[in-house]
Amino acid sequence: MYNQSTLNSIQKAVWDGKLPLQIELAASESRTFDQTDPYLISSPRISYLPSLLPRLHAFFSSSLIDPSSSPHDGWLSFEGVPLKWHLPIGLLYDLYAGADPASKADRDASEDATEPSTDDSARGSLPWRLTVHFSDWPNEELVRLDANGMVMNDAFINSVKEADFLRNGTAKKIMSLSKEDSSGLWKAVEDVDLPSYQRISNILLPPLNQPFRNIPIRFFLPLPPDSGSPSLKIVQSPVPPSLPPSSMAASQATLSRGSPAPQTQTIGSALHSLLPNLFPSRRTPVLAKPVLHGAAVPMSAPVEELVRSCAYGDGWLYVVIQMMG
Amino acid sequence: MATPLTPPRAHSCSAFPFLSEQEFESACRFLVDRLHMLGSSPAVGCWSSTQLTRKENGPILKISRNIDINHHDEDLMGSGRPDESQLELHEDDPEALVRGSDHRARLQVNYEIILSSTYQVPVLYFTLRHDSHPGPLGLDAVYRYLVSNQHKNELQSVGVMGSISFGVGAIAHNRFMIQTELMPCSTIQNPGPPPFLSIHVILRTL
Repeated sequence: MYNQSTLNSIQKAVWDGKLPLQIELAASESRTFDQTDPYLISSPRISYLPSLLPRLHAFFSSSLIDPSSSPHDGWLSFEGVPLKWHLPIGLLYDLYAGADPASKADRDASEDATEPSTDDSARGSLPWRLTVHFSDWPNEELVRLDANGMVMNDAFINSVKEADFLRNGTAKKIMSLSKEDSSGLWKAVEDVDLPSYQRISNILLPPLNQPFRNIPIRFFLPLPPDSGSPSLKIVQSPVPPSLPPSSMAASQATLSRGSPAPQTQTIGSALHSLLPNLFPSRRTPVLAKPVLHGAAVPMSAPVEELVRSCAYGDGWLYVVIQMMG
Repeated sequence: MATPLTPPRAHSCSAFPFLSEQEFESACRFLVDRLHMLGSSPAVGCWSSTQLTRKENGPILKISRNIDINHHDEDLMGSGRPDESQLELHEDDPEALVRGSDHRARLQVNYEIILSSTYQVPVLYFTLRHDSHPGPLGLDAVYRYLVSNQHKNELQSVGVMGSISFGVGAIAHNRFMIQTELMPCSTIQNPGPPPFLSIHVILRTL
């Protein structure tokens, strides 16, 4: 059984998570073509790309062929793919970098080893190399940002609102949040200010003894390049924190003479329900595994505990499905 | 006179105001069939196309509408308002040719109605495009061209962001096109008419 202290310590670890980024200016926009020094930064996983743009613009401004661009004209790409600025940086990395997630087995092996772990370098994907552009905005892929950040703010708050609706069955809490707290929530994520974030998110979250109605969770599946569809598929469906007794009655009947109790919804039971072909077992990843914040999620992890401790700043669990083998 | 559209009755929904995918698709099909029956009558004349399609995440009702705007509206878009000295020059010159306001441009509004996986009610996304502007126009242009003056304050005063804001059409669009979204929250908490009717009214209002 979890308690607030445990949840808080996991949440702190999630908010402390960082990714080393190596960002280069697009050669076609540089006065020195591909000779511009890259910008290196250790970025919080929960941050969003637009928060980097002012610093990137200042760093590269002297190298730009067109110096009239503004920071909000900036967008980033990975191997030619424009990156969605409304998704957290850590999720983008888990989606696109193709890195193996950390797992408990890795940790155990690392603890046993006499040498320090070289886990990240072994994957060959860090620092994550991105390209920044300040022209040729990909209009069909991304919506333009604005100078005062309202577009980013709206996208974030709409996402918070959806999460609130799923947790409570209404969006009354977010709708009645003061303007200061509403903008404060986004600012806390921008500043990676966990104490300020917790103060406001505690207004939105049901107390521990009050279960969520549904879990704000989305699963991201990569699709093969020749599938004729865009490269990602997103799966979302109402996921309650408990499975109703009736659904377990058949399997419990032979084991118990009493009335069946609700069973905790785990990430494994949710995946088995939503993606039975990829997850034929509730307990063991066979063909694919769930990845969250760069780590493989145990199939037995209760979804409500996960969302209370590991949600992104907008209150959502964004789980990447990575194929095995 | 055209027969008024009658939305599916509320009591036919299993968990009103929430809709199942089948109920939503049935309602969309009903509307599309009625529109096709009406043909090119003035009631639907402002919509250039209506189409019910199905993507991986469910049905999508797509409606397109073209809006012609004149020179004055173009100026409001910031595409080159003539300065005052030029205007005065024309006014003071009796020999000046009087030009008609024949400079017209076209806006296209693409509406997409999906069944929201989160809210379980139909949600309206739309983009506004200008034939000489790359990509969708921003929120200022949406309020300027699509919202009548009488509804402007009402829509802008809802919640922190107003009733129309940028949202991510993640479920309808695997490409993550961000579109302008009418917020469904207050509709769900205070249902009023059936959701489908609400959207119909909204479409006609904009």
